[in-house]
Amino acid sequence: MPHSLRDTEHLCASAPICVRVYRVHIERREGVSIDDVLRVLQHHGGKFCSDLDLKRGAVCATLLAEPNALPTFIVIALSAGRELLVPASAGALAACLLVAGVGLFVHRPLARVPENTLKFAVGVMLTAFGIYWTGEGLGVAWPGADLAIVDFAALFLAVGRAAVVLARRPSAEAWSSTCCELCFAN
Amino acid sequence: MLRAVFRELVGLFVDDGWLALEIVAVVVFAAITATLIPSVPLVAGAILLLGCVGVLLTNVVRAGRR
Repeated sequence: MPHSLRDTEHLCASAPICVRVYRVHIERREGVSIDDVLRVLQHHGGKFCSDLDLKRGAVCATLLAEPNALPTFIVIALSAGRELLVPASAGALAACLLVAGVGLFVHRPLARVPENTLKFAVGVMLTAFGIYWTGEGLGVAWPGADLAIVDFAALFLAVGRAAVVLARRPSAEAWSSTCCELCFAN
Repeated sequence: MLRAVFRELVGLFVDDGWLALEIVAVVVFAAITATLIPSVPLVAGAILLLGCVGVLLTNVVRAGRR
């Protein structure tokens, strides 16, 4: 049986408004399989309905509870990423096409943004996302869950700015050689 | 010509070779830590985060000196 089921209310974008979606986190441990998850869900009352991939290659299963009133979906996200190559690839391709499409419309105003500023912003975001997902892959449960990405972005923004200031400061050797030249000139 | 094409392709992903190697080293170290201490995965997370911060700082300062 998996450890520590935490129920979090979450509105799934694809679910009807009248449906309450619960996202159940299962803390990953070795040996936790989707069969374990389904056994837990059936124990909580419901039957397996369909597979949905919600985000970043996670395996998601929706469970439709035996309803008398409103149906309740329980969405489980396992960050295992197993057997998800095709949906993940389809998602990546869709994202590529979407970005290319958006780029067709915004490339003119974007061209006015200084290139280095754009690169810096993109670098900060990529770094924040990369660290978050690498940690997730290593089994790290980041404090604040998804909000940790914002913290990482803020941290790398601050560190990047500080590093630029440090890099621009003239080195001690440069200062001393400048002083020597001034002395000889005088 | 193939070499030039390959270099261009690699250049899309790796701008600074040393930076890439340093980051890979940080990730490997974090992964080893996660394997050795699975009960406290935040240690690996801290190594990953602080390692990347350190790599960024040293890389920028080094680039500034060039």
